[in-house]
Amino acid sequence: MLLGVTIVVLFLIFVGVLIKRAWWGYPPSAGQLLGRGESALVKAAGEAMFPPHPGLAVDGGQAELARYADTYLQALGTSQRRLIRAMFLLFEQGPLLFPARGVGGFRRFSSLTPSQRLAYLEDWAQSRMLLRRVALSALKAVLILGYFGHDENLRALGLEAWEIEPVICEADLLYPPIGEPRSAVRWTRSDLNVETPRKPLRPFTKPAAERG
Amino acid sequence: MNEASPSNESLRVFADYDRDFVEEADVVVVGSGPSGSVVTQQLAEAGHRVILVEEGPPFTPSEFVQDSNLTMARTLREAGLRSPIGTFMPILQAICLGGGSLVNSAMCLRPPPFVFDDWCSRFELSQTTRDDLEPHFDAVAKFLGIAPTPDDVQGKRNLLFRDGCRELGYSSEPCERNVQGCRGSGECFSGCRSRAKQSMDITYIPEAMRCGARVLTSLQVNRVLGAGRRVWGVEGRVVEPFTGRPGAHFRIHARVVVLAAGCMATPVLLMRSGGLANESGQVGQNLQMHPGSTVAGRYPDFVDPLFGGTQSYQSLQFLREGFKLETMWSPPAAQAVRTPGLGEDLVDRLSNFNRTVVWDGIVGANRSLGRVSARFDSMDPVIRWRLHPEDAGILVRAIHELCRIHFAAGADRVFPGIAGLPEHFDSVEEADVLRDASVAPGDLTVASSHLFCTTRMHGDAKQGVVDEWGKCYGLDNLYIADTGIFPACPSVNPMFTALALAHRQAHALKDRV
Ligand SMILES: Cc1cc2nc3c(=O)[nH]c(=O)nc-3n(C[C@H](O)[C@H](O)[C@H](O)COP(=O)(O)OP(=O)(O)OC[C@H]3O[C@@H](n4cnc5c(N)ncnc54)[C@H](O)[C@@H]3O)c2cc1C
Ligand code: SF4
Repeated sequence: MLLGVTIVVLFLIFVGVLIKRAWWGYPPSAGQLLGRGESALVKAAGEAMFPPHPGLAVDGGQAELARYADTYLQALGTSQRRLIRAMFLLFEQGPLLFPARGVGGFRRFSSLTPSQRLAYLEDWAQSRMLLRRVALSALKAVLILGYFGHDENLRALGLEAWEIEPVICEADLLYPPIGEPRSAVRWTRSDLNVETPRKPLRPFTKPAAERG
Repeated sequence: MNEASPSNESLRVFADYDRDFVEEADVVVVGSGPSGSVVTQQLAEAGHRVILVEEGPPFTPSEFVQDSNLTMARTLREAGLRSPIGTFMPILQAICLGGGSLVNSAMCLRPPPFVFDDWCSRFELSQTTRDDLEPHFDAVAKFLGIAPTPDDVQGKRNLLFRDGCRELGYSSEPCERNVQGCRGSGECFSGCRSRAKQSMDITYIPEAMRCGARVLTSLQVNRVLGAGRRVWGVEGRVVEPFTGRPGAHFRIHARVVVLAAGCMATPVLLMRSGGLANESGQVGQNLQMHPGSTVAGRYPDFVDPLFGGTQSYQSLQFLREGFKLETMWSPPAAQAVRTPGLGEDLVDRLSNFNRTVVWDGIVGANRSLGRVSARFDSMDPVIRWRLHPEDAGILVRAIHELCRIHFAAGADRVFPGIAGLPEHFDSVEEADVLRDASVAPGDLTVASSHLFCTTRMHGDAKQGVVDEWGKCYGLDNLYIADTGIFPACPSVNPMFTALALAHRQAHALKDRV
């Protein structure tokens, strides 16, 4: 009898610890669609992947990756959204199935220490199992697009997107903005601005060897 | 609509449909990619009543976004996350007016004669030599203004490729593209805000509308209607842009149906129409691709990688050996996705991105076959395809050559992107490990946007789905015009071939409708 009660109590404690480690105590999410756990995962993985660097303006913690991931989720259709969320879940709760290296490795990803997080991601990147490598590449792809697409980082490297005044050609007078009826075409002939020839975005200088 | 605008009476967009409807035409064309657009324009010009049906919406320059994830979510099937079972890799296919031409790099290549000779001999074709197709290539080239990319918009990253090739004695050339007045923004993938790229939505489709064709967007065709040897139209649902949420039903009756929904969607449509055109059992079979891998090179100085035509230089030196080499660019963050490492290593590499140039190799993977089948609950295909070890070997050879070209052009470090091998090489001698490296297909990082053969043409009705004119065997008035009809890989970028074949097909159809 006593043994039975002890087993039940221990089991309940285990379940309690598991629930606490998996779902308890998340800070509020940074987005509309992104759940608290997803938001914490994105932030924690971003911090691990992109530490501060003198050549780049913002690091993974400052790049507002959770907000970025939220915008991305909003743009996806239902089945792709499910896929991305499953991947977030896999990484966030992964250490409860395959604990991270070191003391305290049996807890959700976002509660691991910074060095444990990096080591955990590196394990996935180096895995001989294609599926783990693919999952890591997918997580890295979503985060890198947010981190390296950040205006300030691109500006720091002289790679910010071109400021291009959209050119309106004859065909654009046929198409309304997406979602609006065809009567809502934005432009008229007076908006046509196709220059001929259009100017290259950088002036051209022939290499010395090819001049003359 | 403002009075000063040309008429768009013949266009329908999502917000224009408020109930179920039925339409009638001589010809209904399903899919507005390069193939469907040419067929529509040619038949409309010949005086036929044509309806072009497209599932995606039309885009204008204000709708192009620079973020790669958002671009893919808005313009690509399954948000760019489509992948085959077998070899994991992204398969990029568009969903928008103009199909692939809106987001592609506009490279236009005529495959060399040996490709067509091979097609003719292996697939019992008698009228598909390069000479047979030449007038059609010429007509399309003239209409779209296809021309070599001029030097003033090559930018350093394209010219480095040229220099590296020259140094090694390899042939190289500026890419011919359907572009007029390129500004070198390198953003073809997210849509040309300069409207220099002559995509179908601003060329063949408006011209077709001018000739009387009607263009119905945001309609997903779910079924071809027919019985016995004849089809009499298509039916489907209105779908909301981006979410794909279904709305009203429609039906279009026509004397001739042309399927140009692309190499994945066309076989699915046939399967979901009661197994149409499948006496040969070849519908959805024989799937082939050009898998491609990229190789990044780091240079000692700033290379201004942002500037230059997206993919503007290429080498055809190794075409007979099964691969083609070319330059490439997409938004920096998308290019950076394949940067190896994590943590400090990763950010250090990213901080060098303004000194980094990326090139790619594509393989005419004739041994890697797959198939496409239908799901019961959606029009998305189930794709099975596996990279054959011999084709993987050719890809490794392409990667090796790209490493050599980078070093010849002055790179100080090159990233081959192969799992299980060093993350980078610092000299051409180090890169030579690729000569004897044993690389499993799964160790390569591949992607593909060139897909073919799922409704292949064949001279023998028992072995193909369509004849040389795209007419489905066993049916009198159902045609297919997209890259699915290619009998094998074209070895070079496929759009121009698709355009020329569609142009020829439309010429034959003009008299048959
Ligand atoms: C990013 C990218 C870059 C590329 N770069 C190049 C390049 O530089 N040069 C080159 O030669 N090739 C390139 N390609 C490949 C080239 O764009 C394609 O081979 C070409 O577009 C194929 O033309 P298509 O007419 O067969 O089909 P698609 O262009 O795929 O068009 C099919 C159309 O049918 C529509 N459709 C599908 N199903 C349905 C349905 N059920 N109902 C209604 N409509 C439907 C689709 O939405 C789509 O618009 C690139 C492709 C991509 C994605
Ligand atoms: S490189 Fe830029 S300007 Fe040139 S065609 Fe592509 S998007 Fe347009």
